[in-house]
Amino acid sequence: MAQQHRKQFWVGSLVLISVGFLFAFTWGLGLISPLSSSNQYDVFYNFAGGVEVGAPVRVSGIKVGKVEKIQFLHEELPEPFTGTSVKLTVSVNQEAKSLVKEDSKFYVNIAGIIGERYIEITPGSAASALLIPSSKVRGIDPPRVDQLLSQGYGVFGRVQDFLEQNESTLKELLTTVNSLMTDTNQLLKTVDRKKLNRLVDNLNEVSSNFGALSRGFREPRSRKFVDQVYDLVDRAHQIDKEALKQFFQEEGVRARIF
Amino acid sequence: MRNNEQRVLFLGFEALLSPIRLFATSCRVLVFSIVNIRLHGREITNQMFESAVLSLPIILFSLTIVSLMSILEFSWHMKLVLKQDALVPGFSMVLMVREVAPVVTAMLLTSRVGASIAAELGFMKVTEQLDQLKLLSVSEVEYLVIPRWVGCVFASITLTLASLVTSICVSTGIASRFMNYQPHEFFNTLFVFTKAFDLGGGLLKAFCFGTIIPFVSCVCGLSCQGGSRGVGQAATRAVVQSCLFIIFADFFLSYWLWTF
Amino acid sequence: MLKAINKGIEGLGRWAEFSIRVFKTFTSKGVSSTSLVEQMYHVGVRSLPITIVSGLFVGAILAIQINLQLKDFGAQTFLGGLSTSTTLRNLGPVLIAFLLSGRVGAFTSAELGTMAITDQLNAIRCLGMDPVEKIVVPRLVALTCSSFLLLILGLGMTVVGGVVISSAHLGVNPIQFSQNISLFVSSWSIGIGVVKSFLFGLMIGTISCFFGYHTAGGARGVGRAVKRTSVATLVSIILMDFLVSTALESLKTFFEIMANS
Repeated sequence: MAQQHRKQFWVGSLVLISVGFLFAFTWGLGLISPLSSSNQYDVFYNFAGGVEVGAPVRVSGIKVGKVEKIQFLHEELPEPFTGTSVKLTVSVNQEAKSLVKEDSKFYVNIAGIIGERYIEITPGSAASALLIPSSKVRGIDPPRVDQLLSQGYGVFGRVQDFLEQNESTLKELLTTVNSLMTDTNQLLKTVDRKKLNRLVDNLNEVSSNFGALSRGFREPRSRKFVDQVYDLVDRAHQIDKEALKQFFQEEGVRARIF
Repeated sequence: MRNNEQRVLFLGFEALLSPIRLFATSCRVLVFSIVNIRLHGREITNQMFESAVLSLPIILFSLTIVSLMSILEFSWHMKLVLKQDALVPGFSMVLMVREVAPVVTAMLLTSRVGASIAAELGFMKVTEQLDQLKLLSVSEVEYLVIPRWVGCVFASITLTLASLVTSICVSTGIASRFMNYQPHEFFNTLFVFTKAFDLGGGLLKAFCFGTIIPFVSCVCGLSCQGGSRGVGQAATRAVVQSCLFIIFADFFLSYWLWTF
Repeated sequence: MLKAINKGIEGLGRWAEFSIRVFKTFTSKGVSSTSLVEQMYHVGVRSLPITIVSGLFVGAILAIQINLQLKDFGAQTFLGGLSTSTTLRNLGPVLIAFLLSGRVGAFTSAELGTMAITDQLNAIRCLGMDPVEKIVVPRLVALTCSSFLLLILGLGMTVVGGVVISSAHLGVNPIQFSQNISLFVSSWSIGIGVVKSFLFGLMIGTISCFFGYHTAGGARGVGRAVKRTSVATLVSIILMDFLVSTALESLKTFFEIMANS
């Protein structure tokens, strides 16, 4: 009988240990999160750039929660949510709750060398009020790299057209610049008033030619492209540059970053 | 010759079908006995103890070494592909949860539990204890098969979990010793790729393997004939067939769970 | 607890003693070729189907799992090289050896055990012959050789299994699959696989003969011998896998250092 009790004891303790392990695993995997109350916010995006359910949410770069749910919106919403098509429910845990203010911004960002997507929340300014839990926020769409590229192709095409059309002018420009350089050389050797006058004339000519060149860049669409490039570079700055560079250059792995 | 081939084919089908038949019977009997509260509680506890608790040391020992190997191999391969081993914990954890922990645990259980089930039942058959049970009007499925089934499923699932924990501990130790990881840093990268679905899939695999082992072994044991030679053959057949079925089941489960 | 450890160490010693005795008999008396061929047929040829099938499936399983991990990278071009390398170096030999330990090891142990408890070994002794020479040596040699050959065959089949599954369902055709194999699988990796196969064969052979030869206690004893054989072979395979890998890696480092200096 005592032996039977011993067996029962061992079996029971194994059951307890296993349940404990299972609990620890589900906690580690983020299925359950006891002991921490979290706030949830609804963030609206037009384009979510590949975020998945369970993707991390970070405040100031520190993981504080995850994307709980992703829903498609089927009807048009009023201002300021016009044009949005997905609703992401994100959770933020206790420690970071107080940093999410009304003027916080919700970016979709990329981290690591395989391009894991996450939601970055910038901490709001001290002056603004706390964001009320389960309130609705307009997220900032990540740059559409596909659109950016197609626009970029357009701009490059136009630049090419411009170059082809004004080939003679450009040649002239180059020869003028060339002579400008020689003249400068001369000038440095012997400062001659007469030559300096001629130089100023040449400079005038150069600047008028540049005016013609830069007119091509002034169109609004090109303007937008340049802005987006700035935005992209700003974001890319946060990615680990060394790893990315090595990863791309040495391995040639076509990681689907975007 | 042709006749012989037909016989082999027939035996193959028999080997495949008999466990399934026994499984169906046991399910029916299990439901029936749960409804009528006729479970042999003491037998079940005994079997749980035999298959889970007594297998614990050997499985922990083996899994320690397996996970050691797996993490070292992984870092070797990662260095070959990516020239760095930053993602090793994440990747090796995924393979561990999905594949290595359930399969290696099941293989070890097969050799420990499967062989002893077949040998025990075979011995009972040879010494006509089974006939005595019939005389006492005790159902052999109820008294012998179901406790072993419960015990083995229990063992498979708990030991898979235990081996996962072991592998985490071991790989943390190795990584902080040889690969310049801090333990907490390692823990953070451990669950990067592992999804809850992977853990569920791993445990489903453990459940299936834990079901395969007792039924195959029980069929081998109950159909044993011819003295001590028969007992030995039954135990051998149990080990071989369980291992084969486990590999088949593993293939189909991997394919069905993760490829779609 | 202490008693169990004590017993385990004692068993290890007895196993070593038995192995040395068998080895000595083998070197002094040799082995009769007729019984060797017969045993090779029994354990080797008849295990062919199971080895081929298990090799195919092991290769397929590992290809599926590694493909899943590479897909996230978009680096499926590495599938062939990585899965072949992983299979050959580590998991392939272990998993196939698990199956063989049942098919070959447990089989031999049961056979020898039956002989032991039905006093057939004693009968041979009564006829003035050494049972180790007549019964054990041919079996052990046949077992070691055929396990080695079967493992090599199984490893070959894992590559086939990987190719089949990846071209059929993972969208990587055989040419893509074989492209990086040479990049990842060096002759060193193949050497590791071969050395492991040989040692696994030796472990399966000595352990199963040891437990079979020392069986006592009727039909129950035969069952126990089979169980012990399969557990001991599995654990020793895992242990060997680790030891061989570590030893060969350090040997390789040693050679590299020697070559550089």
